[in-house]
Amino acid sequence: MATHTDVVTKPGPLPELAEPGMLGPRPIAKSGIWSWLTTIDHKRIGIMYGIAALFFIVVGGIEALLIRIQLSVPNNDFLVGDLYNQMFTMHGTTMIFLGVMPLTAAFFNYVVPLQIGARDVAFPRLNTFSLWVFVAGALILNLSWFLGGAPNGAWVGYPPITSPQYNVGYNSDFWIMGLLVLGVASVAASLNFFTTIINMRAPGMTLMRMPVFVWMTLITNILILLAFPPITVALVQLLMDRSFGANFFNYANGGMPIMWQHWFWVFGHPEVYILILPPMGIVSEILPTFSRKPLFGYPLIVFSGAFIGFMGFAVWSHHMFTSGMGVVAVLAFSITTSIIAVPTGVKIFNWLGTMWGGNLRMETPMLYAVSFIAMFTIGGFSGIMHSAAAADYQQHDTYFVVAHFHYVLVGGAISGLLAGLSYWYPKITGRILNEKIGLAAFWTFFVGFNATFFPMHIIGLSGMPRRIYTYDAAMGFNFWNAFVSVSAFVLALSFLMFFYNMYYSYKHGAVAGNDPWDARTLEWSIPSPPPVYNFALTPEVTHLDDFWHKKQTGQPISSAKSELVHMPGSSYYPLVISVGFFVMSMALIYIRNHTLLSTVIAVGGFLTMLFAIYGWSLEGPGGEMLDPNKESGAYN
Amino acid sequence: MNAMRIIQAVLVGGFLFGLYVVAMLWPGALDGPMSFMVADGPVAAAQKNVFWYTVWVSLFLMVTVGSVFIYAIYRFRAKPGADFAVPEQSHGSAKVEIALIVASCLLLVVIAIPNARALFYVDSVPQERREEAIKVVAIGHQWWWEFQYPDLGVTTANELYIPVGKPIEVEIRSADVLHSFWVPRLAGKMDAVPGQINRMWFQADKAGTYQGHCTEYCGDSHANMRFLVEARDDAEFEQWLRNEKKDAAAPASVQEVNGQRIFMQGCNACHMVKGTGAMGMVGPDLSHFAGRKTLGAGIFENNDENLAKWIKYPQQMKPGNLMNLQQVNMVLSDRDVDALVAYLNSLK
Repeated sequence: MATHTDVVTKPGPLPELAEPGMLGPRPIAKSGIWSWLTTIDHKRIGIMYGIAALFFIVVGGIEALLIRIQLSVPNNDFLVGDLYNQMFTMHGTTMIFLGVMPLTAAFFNYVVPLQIGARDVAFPRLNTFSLWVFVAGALILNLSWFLGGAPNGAWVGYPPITSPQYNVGYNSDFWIMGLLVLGVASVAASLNFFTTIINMRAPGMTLMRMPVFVWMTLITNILILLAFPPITVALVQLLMDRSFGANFFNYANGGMPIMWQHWFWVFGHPEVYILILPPMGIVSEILPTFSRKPLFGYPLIVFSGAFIGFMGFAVWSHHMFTSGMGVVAVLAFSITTSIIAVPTGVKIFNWLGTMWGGNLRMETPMLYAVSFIAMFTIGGFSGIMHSAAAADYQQHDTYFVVAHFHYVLVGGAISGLLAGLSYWYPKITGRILNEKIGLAAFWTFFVGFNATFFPMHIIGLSGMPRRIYTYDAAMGFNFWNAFVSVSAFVLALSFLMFFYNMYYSYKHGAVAGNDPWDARTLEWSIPSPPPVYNFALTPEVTHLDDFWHKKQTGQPISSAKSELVHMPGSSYYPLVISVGFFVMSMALIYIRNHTLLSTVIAVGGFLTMLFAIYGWSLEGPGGEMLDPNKESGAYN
Repeated sequence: MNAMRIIQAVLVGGFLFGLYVVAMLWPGALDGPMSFMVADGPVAAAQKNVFWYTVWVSLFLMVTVGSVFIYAIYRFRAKPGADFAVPEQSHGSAKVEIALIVASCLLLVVIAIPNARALFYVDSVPQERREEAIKVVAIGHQWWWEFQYPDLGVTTANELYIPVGKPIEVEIRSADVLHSFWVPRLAGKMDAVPGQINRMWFQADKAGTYQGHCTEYCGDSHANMRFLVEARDDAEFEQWLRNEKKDAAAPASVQEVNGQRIFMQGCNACHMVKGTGAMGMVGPDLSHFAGRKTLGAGIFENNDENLAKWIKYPQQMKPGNLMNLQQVNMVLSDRDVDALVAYLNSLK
């Protein structure tokens, strides 16, 4: 280990300040709307991802409430047939792609560079590009509500129900194009974080000294890189079927509908871990801080995270146990699925081990983290029940499954993300969330969540299928459906309380200071909110939980001298590319029936993109040299 | 460590999990017509057994881990007023980790064995019972089921008659999109995939009506794609079969004759009535319609009022379905509808 502590990087030669962009002036605003639209600062991008994600969680939540109103009584006529189908399709798609994924991306952006002691991500302009392409994809998906009907093929989009023969509107075209665009954003972002984590760590921060959140970010982004190609291929094939009369999934002409399911779940199952691994990382940061103990079994937590990610590619067919794969294939995937319980169990044991013997401060971030463990564990147990394929033949596509994945994704992922929001809110805004409102919001969440989703197990065992807009009064589903619908509003209330707390504390919260939680990782060694350049002095890392170690032993964080920091310039081009991308994708949706017009507009969008790509590549890093000692709020 | 506290924590944890179990087993909660917690045949029973096996293993783990968890939160919480002293620092223990990993692997093997046995059992009719099996072809349509008995020469829709105590071998196909065949009290589900033939089997141990439902999302009226399985003892089944093999009854009254005439002006394009000119293959075979309990694929009781509404307003009764009177140029007066109802009710 000693060899690593000796590493002291000398700053290389300062980058040359580039010429002004060759295709026009660069943005120079430091505040106002344009400074946000053109920013390349990972912290601002993180905040924008976060705001967009919370907005779409509200949208997806409203969709969920409308679904619950329809299901509150049997034979209801509030949302009937196709409209209900659009609602649940968009609820799932929104929550996964526009809610949870960008919220994890918000944390990747804001927290990862700070935790590894970097000034920014490896490719700051690519980061802006990812944000705006994500916004373009989100717009495409949601504009469908106003342009003839939202996607209605369920979030899994199984053909033939999404094939042109059975889905004649543009509903599924919006879905395909939206997901393709979102995929571009995700893959660009994942390349960026992968490179950042591999290359930009502070001197001395070996892989096994990285905070667990950084580890989980690394694994998640590897999963994104590997999982998005299959879904992209599948989406392009379906797009060909719909727009150009191809027959990839059209059985009548020799296509194979079942192939979509394999493509989709080779993406879809890793996607589940893309949603859950970042919250696992967040919880692994919060537990040690609030237990005042190191993470129990750090290497095991890291390796089991990697193992979960790896096995994520070996279990996809457990979503298809009833598709007629044959008993041997079913058994094989049943066994690989159950194996995932082992690394997951290891994580849970180690989180327990972290708390054991600690001095637990049960404040809101810790409460959400603890609720994550409890709810995720319950979801894990119903997962084991599904992995036994013989039993899953009955549970498949019933509310028992709906209960399972909401325990994992709401009780698990959302709990973990709310934990992260409560935990890093002081770092982001400089103020601590109000504890009283926070506690009220937490308990409302905890009660509302369990009252909403636990009874779905019972509804499922009573035999209620998923994705049905109505049910008969004599089936025994009535009481619990009404109960669930009421509880869903309690759950919604808890989110309102959380958002109100964010607003209230932004105005009136206690000032946080650098390190309100007596935390362990580098981001807490700098002011809240951090200065634009992050670290005035590049920290030198000698231990896992380096900041905590230095605090305990009374050492300074860094021995290097403060240098001028190069701050690259903002750029219009990523935004322009995403506008061009948006125009092109929107036009292509209509190519089936308006070939000439949509081709012309698409070419226009493409040329806009091309122009901006050249502008981007020619403008250089730009920016200015900044002296941290002269900046107010600089860390000393 | 204080033994009393551990006991207290276990009691509290046990109480909470107990509440869950009570909620699950609440009288009436789990014995509905579609509950797979009630098994009325050997296949459903095998699946239910594996389910409860996983439940007990999970509950054991849940109570164990949950108790430790709750105890840890209680025991190690920071006391109000006390300083946040730094506790003893520990980084982990290889022995504990290995023990827990080995233990969880063992529990997986414990689940895997009964799971594998059940999987092979429910996959196909046991060898020694192949001879007595009744073959049924179930074809999923948007949004109803067609049932063919290839060895018996009979086709029906939405209500599947089977003899009690005989293995039923189902071959599942689709005519359009994905569907899934599910009768929870008799067996788990199997998808209907275009271009693919899937198989399953089940058996009803006692006579009665079993509720079924399509469980693969299939479009607008997925929620309205229900069906019934009617299990009858051998004599009744034979009687049903004899009737089903006959051509449709000829209209007897003037109104029924009128009804048949109207039927032949459009309905016949999609529906079959054996022994008449109605040879349509798009909708359900109506040769013995009057014997059906339900309308519109298990969603309405089959009575005069519902049938008249169904004929007049099929789209309101079942959104998106293919029954479209404009398409076959039918304009029906109330008298026409009454005549059709009378005719259809004569098709015993």
